[in-house]
Order: sequence, then C-alpha cells, then structure tokens
Amino acid sequence: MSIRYKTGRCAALLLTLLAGIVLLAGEARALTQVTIYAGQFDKTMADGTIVPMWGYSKTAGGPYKSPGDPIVVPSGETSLEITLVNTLPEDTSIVIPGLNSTTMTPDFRNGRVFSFDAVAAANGGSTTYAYDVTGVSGTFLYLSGAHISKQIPMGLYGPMKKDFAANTAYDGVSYDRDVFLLYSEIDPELNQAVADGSFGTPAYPSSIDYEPRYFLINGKSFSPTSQSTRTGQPGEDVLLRFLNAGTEMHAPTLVGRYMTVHAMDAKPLPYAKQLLALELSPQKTFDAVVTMPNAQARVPLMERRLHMTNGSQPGNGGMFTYLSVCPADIDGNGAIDRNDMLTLAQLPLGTVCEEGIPCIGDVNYDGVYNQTDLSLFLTMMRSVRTCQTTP
Amino acid sequence: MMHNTLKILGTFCLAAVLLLALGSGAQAKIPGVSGPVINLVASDGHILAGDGQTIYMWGFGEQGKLMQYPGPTMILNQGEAVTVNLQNNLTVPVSIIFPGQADIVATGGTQGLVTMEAVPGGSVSYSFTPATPGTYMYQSGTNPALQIEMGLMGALIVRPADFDPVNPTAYGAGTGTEYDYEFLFFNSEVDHRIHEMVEFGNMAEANETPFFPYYWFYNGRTAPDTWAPAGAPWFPHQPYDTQPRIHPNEKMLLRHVGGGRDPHPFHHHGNNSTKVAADGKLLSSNGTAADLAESRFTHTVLPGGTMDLIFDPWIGAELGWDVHGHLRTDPLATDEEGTSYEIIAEAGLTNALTDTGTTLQLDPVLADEFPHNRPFRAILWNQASGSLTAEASPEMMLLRRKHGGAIGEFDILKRGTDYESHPARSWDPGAGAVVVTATYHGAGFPVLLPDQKDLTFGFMYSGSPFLGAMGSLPVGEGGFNVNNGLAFMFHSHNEKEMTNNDIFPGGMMSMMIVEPKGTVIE
Repeated sequence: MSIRYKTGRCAALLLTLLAGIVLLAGEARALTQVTIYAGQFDKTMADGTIVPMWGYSKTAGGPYKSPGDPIVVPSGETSLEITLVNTLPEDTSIVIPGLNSTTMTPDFRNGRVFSFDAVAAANGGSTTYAYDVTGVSGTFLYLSGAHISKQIPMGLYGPMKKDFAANTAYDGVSYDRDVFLLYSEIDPELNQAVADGSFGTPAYPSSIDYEPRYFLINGKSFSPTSQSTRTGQPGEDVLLRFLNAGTEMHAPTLVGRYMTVHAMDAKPLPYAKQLLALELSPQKTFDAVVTMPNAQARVPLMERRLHMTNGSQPGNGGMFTYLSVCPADIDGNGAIDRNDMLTLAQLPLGTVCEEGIPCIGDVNYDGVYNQTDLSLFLTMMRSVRTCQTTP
Repeated sequence: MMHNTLKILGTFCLAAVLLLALGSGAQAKIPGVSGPVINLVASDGHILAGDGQTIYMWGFGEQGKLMQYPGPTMILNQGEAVTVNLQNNLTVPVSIIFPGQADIVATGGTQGLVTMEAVPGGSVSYSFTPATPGTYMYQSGTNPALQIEMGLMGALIVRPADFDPVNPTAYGAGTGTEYDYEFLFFNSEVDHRIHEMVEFGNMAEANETPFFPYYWFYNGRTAPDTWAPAGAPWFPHQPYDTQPRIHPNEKMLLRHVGGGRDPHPFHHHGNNSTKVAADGKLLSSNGTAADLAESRFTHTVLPGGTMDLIFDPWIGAELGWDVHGHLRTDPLATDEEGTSYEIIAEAGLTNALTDTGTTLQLDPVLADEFPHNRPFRAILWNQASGSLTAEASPEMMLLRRKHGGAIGEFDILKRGTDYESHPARSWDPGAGAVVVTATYHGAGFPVLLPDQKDLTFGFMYSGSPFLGAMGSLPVGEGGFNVNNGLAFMFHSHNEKEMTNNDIFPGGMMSMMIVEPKGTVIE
C-alpha cells in the first residue's frame, strides 16, 4: 500500500512508502525512497572457483548480491531518494549516470577524485542521495561512484528503470513484458587482491592488469545446467533492457531474429533501428523490443565478442542465455498452477518435440515431454508457483 | 634504424613484386557460390600470414574443394529458396547459423546449442528463403567462442529481386544503393596461440577467455597478401583478394562483414563513403530509400554485424592541380559512360565585377553546391564563347565563401597576376551570361618536383602525379602500378591492426586504385 503526498514546486518530495527494492518483472510497487545495503559476500563461479565480491542487498545484514536488485521508479514520479548503508571496509557511494543528482558533492582525496558523490563511510556509515526524475524514463545503471576502477569490478552495480507509463518505456514504445539483461565481468585476481588487502600494494598496484575471466548476464554465467532467462509468452513484445557494468564492450545478438532498438542511454532514438548486433559499450544501456516466437520456444542470446566462456574451461559458458517463454506456465498467466496441470494431463507422455523447437510440456528443454518434465512441473507448481527463474 | 626500415621495406617490396605485378588479375566481381543447393564441407587446413606464419584453421569449403578462410561467399537471390548441406570432416560437432535470415528449417543432425549440428563425420541441412536483400554472414553455431575464432564463418549476399547486373543496386531500384563495382571486406582477427592448442590436440587449453589477437585479415588474408590475385595458387586456403578498383566518377559498394569478435573502424582515403545499410537493413525512415544514410570517412563494423558503404565517386576534385595534366583549352575528362566529371559546381555571375573587385555574387540556389568552408579555384568565362575551354580571355580565381555574407557571396582571395597570371578584367553579367565554374581543370602542378635523388618512393608511385601517366623512376623502383592509377589506402584505423605479429605493414590494409579510363576492370 502506498500513500502519496503531492506537493507543489518542492524539489524533494517526501513520501511515505514501504522501504525496499522491487522484485523483477510484474511486481512493482510505487516507490521513490529506497534503502540499499552494501556488503561483502562470496560468489561461486560456474567452474567452482569462489570469488570474494562486494554487492548490494535490500535488507540489513544481507544476503548481498551482484548485480543488486532492480530499482523500479513508478512512472510519473518526480523524485528518487536512495539511502546507502555501507558495511564494506571501504567508503563507497552510488551514482546513476544519466540522472540529475540534486545533491552531488564529489569527494576529493590527495588532490584526486575519490568519489563522484558523497560517500557512505566504511563499516556502518550511511548517506542519502536525491535525484530529480521529473519527466525521466528509461533504463539506467546504478553503481559505485567511489574508487570505481576497484569497486565496480568488485560487483557494486545494479539495474534501474522508470517507465513513461504503464507498459510503456518511452512515449510510443510499449511492451507486454520487460526483462533486465545486465552484462558484467569478474576478474578473480583483482577481487582476491582486494579481499586479502594487497590491492594498492606493489604486489597488486592497481586494476591496470584487469583481465576478466568470468562473464555474466544478471549475475549468472551459462553452463549445461543453466536455466533460461524467462522472458515472455508466445507472440508477446518483450522489452530487453541491456546494461553493461563491465569494462569491455559486449555485443548481444539474438539467433534467428533482429532486435528493434528504440533507445540508447535512456534516450529514445528518432527512428527505431533493426539490428543484429548491439554495441553495448561499458556503462551503456539499450532498450530493444523483440517479439517472442509463437511456439513455446527459446531464443538464443549470444554475445558476439565471444565472451561465452567460463574461466579456462573449454565449452560454452559466459554471456550466453536462452530467452524463453515459460514452459511450465502453459496458459501464460504468470503462475504455474492447476490450470496448467490440467492442460498437461491431457498431453501424451513421450511426445517428441519438433526438431529444434521445445514444445508444450517440455519443461527441461530436452526435446521430449516425459515423466521427468511432469515431475519437474509438479515440483514447480508446489514450490515455486511462478515463472521466476531461481535467483 | 634507417637501415632496418629500408630492409623491411625492401623485403616487403620483394614479396609484393611477386604479387602486384599480377595486379591486372584482380577480381572486381565478388566470387562465391549460389543456390538452390550449396554443399559445404567443414574441415581443417593452414593459412599463411604476411610474416610467414602458418596458422591452423577450421573452415568451410565447397564440396570437392579445399577448406577456405573465410568460407565460400554465398550469393543468393531474394525470394529464392536455398538448401545448404553441411558435411562435417572435423573431429568436433559443427553447425551453421544465418544471422538475419528467418524461418530456417534444419534437418538431420543432432540438437546443439542453438541449432541442429552435424556430428564428426555426419551431416546436417539447412533450408531457408532469403526474404530481404543485403549483406549478411553465416557462422558456426556450435561452441561459437572457439569455432568462430578457428574460422568457421563466411559472407552471405542476397541480391534484390529486381537485380540487374548491368545497373546493379544493393537493395533494389529507388533505394539509393546503385553502384558500378562491389567489393567484399570480410573482417576478422586471430589469436594464433589458441589455434596452436587446437592443432596439437590440447583442447582443454584451447580457450577463448585470454584472447589477444596477433593477426588481422581482410577476406582471409593479411596485408600485403590482400592484393595478391584472387585464387592465387600459393594461397590454397585463402582464395579471396581485397583490391578495390574503379575508374573516375564511378561508385563502389563496399560490403563489410564483422566476422571476428572485435569492432573495426574502416577508414578509406580519397573520399567519404555513405553507409546506406547496417546488418542488412537500409538506414531508412520509411523502408523505401536510404534517407538516414551517413556520410563519413570512417565507419565501424561491429562483430556479428555488417555494413554497406557506397564510396563517393572519385573525381580528383580538389587535389589542387588538374590530375589529368590538362591545359585549360583541353577537353574536359569524361568517365566510362562519357559523363564529364571535372566540374565541382557551376553558377551564373549576378553582380557586375570590375578588374579590381573583391567579391563575387552567384545565383543563390546554385551557389550552395560550391565548397562551403575552404578556398577553391574557379574559372570565369562568357557563355557566348561556347565553353570554358573555348573562352579566349578567361579569368582564374581563388574564391572562398564569404563568412557572414549573403547567400551566394564569395570573397575573391586571388586573381590576375596573383593567380595563374591571367590579366584581371571586368565581367558584365548583363551582356551575355557570365559563368563561374569551380574546377581544377587546367590548373598546373603547384610545386616543382624535387630531383629524384632527393625523393623516397612509395611502392605505388608511377613516377608522375597525373592519372594514367608514367614518369621516370630510379632503377629498381616501380612496376607495381601497371596502369599508372592513383592509390588510396583502405585500412582499419586501429593502427595496431595493420601489423602482422608486430611487423608493419600488415593486417587490415589494402589499396584502392583509381585507374585511368579504359583500364579493364572485370
């Protein structure tokens, strides 16, 4: 429930709201006041390597994640306030490129910029940032503005969006469903040097030798057991919100179809462009619409800079995923429920899908609808109940 | 230092002499294979780089022929179905995806990452109907991070349904994509260390993660091999060349494919080019004409993307001298179709001009076609005399558009004895129209060429600065420019990409040659 007080010309609106960060697609609450906690955590990579990371959480004490949870600002809002609470051993801050921060105060140390905006002090400090979001819409990155060559590779970034209107990203750009696709990289040596205190010493003087070994979309690299990125239902127009928190340019490209690009860096293009490969430069965002196929299929999303590897492992990995319609949500209402089960009960077990196209009931995409799928479906219906991919 | 440089250039020239003396064998058509059935084989082989390195590759080849890098260019027709049969002679599965093509039906094979794939020794087929014209590519869809690096890719061209080989267009009539010649630029790069791992069977260490390229290719070859002939037998696995050639006033279509994984800023000398399409889609606000085309002198091609550039017709407009070595009274040069091209712009004089006047006024509408922000040469002549070559008392002037002046107003920077020494005179726009023609026709060469012993010679120099003319060169120089054309370097402007494993020149470089009228270009 939200109570909104509409004021006059005051730049900073005070709103009474539930604190917290909004979940992925479909569950937005009207928020303009947000509290983010920064902290340390360990991440296990696809090849088993454990990497120390810095990330964000919506709750005090964690669990922290990288990328952080999305910030969703309802359309029509004019103000956004972010309170950052910092449990890291170093001062940190948040900046959002493209947004007008009304309180921006760079922090200079030793004659150089340490942070683009005021810091939340290490080990428990906090600070609040205020942004004027009047008339703003689009896809943005929020990330650390402090010692960025170190803190961003450590994992301090997350996605943000504000729509023009319901299901409308910009004036004239509407969609049925949207999904964030945040591209990031991890260099385990850099992270280890930060964790063990050698970063900035002669042993590891700076990020000059940064060389990413892991490549992720929404914090996950591809592996044989990866889940698809649930995107939409057959025939729907899905808005793909691309963001790049890494330091390499990445080139997302769909297999088998074009993307219709409507905006870059939260600015709508005068003419939409149909492109095969996007130039997703570091810190850039793109908004592209793709129509999901009519069959229950999955659309491969490749990365054409070929960052589709996991460390030194051979085989497919990294920045590859399938954009999928939700195979278990057969009637497409967003929930895996009894109606879906009734439909499934009428399908003959052992149905082999058309070559290359997963079919109704083939929940695990192995090309056939069989007992394994049914068991998986029942598990999902009992426990998960929605088409959200596991975190 | 100097000695080493000369030695490198000497070695380079020695290699080039074997290649370029055959320059007349350059192929202007884009070679390739066409439908309705294309049979490809995936296999392995070695390619040669310009520093002598051999690199182990995987690639596609036509059935019955050798594997090649890049794979055979598919040349298809809009609306005509095609089936590509792939036989796999590698020891790993392989497949093909066709970015930009829709509704591909794959038969045979086993389910792979993104499409059906052929197991080692097996086969798979892909059928589709190209729906729209343009420049595209095909590549492996199996373990793409490794297999694209290893070379499993090629270009794919779709001709528009109304394609006429005599008056070709890239995207159809009325789209603004007409051209006289077309050339393919397949961009790629290689980290040969990964290829060594694969060659010696060390697949566990053949890993794209630490990718760092050492070689860069146009159409599968590094410079200077880019201008060896197409199909040269000493490049059995690299059959394509990169030798753009035109006559004056002709248009070239440059089809760029981003084959590798890095973007490449394609930079051409001599003129701007207009990007009319990207990724097989016209840059258009309405889908019918390329009204959103971009004119630049550097266009970047993205990995997995393509771009179609139409190079502005070269006319030698403002080199500063008459590139044909004409006298003013000589006829104007014409192109292969008889169109004269030496005139940059032409308009009538609208103010009476005395012999000491310092400003010119031209018809305001036509004046817009004159150069906008730099000095240029113009000839004044009376229309009654018939032409600027027939005029008995012309005047040559150096003009520049007047800053902050009226439309059509130009400052006369130099005239009379200050400029080409024709006496300054009065011009009366009333008594027979006075024409002001911007042109370098008849302009003399502006400097005295130094003595030969004071010059260093570029390997493409004919000995003369005039198109089609040969001058004297010291013994041992020359011979590479058999038609005495003018050469312009076309290259990646990531300068490092013009090397072969730290050796310059190399990599993504070629020369565009403007050949004199009458030279045969197939």
